[in-house]
Amino acid sequence: MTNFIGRNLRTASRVLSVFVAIVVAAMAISSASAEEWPTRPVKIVVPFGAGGITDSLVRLLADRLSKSLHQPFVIENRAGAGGAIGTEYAAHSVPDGYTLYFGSAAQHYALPLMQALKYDPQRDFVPVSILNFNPMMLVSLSSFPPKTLDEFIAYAKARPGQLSYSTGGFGTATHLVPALLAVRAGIDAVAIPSGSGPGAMNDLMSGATQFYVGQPSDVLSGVAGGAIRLIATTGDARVPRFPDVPTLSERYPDLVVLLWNACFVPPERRKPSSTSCRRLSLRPCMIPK
Amino acid sequence: MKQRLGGLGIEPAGTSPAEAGDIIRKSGAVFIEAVKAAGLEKKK
Repeated sequence: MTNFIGRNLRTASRVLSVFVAIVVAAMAISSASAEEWPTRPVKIVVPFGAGGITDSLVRLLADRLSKSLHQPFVIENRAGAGGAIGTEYAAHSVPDGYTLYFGSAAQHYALPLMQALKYDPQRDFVPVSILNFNPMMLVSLSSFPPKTLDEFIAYAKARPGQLSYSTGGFGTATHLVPALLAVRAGIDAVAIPSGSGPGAMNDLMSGATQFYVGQPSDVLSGVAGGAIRLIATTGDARVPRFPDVPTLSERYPDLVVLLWNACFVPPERRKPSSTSCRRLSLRPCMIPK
Repeated sequence: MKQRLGGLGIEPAGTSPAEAGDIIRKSGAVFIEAVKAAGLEKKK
């Protein structure tokens, strides 16, 4: 996984240059009467622990922003409760344009449906920009009998209650997406929670579970090494590196899951005179072609 | 700006705020359905 992250962070580094331009454009104030931004350090709240793929990408971004804007962009990791702790913290920060927050669909859609929270994603956050999309990947051990998506579905349907799948934790995308696939496909399989994506992969590799729908960063080293078979991906198109691997949507047309990481800010309503969060939607962004 | 990261399907987005809001809204339905599929909806 380390090699995968390192390789992709190097590639992502080029992308971040563009993202920096977008954040700057979105946060900057176009009117002559408006104040400059930033004039002091900016905090970036990451609702996950340090060292993961999101944290690593945001750290690269923070470095670029600091150099471009000549102010420190300081990451604050507030992990826990599936991202709820950091998200609540960001939602209740001062809405002055000096707190950025990176979240995903889990914090935006899944968590509010599953538990009582002290934030409302629609009310408490304004999107600045989406950093990246990625599909998830349905994998099994290479020794698992089904080799194709059709074979996998048929095999699982013929064994109700006998198969289990790894998850990075209840309520995470690695739990929700296979649960949705199971409903769509008529599969009865058991979720086995682990504390993380790598933990879920360990369960799969040990044979404790039979399949896993995970992040590319969790599964691709195993695929490259031959121990793991990639059965399907969840995006709206096949992944270029794996042109022979189908998407779930080829069998279930509207079953498309693209995970995203996005930058948000708290809206300005609680402090109308502060910097330009409310103007975000009015400011055209520069996206180099 | 739609190059793919190493052909792995990790797609840099770099959307404007309006585009981000639109994409985020549209992505919600599948997650809402997935929470229901997993039986994890909180009790009202």
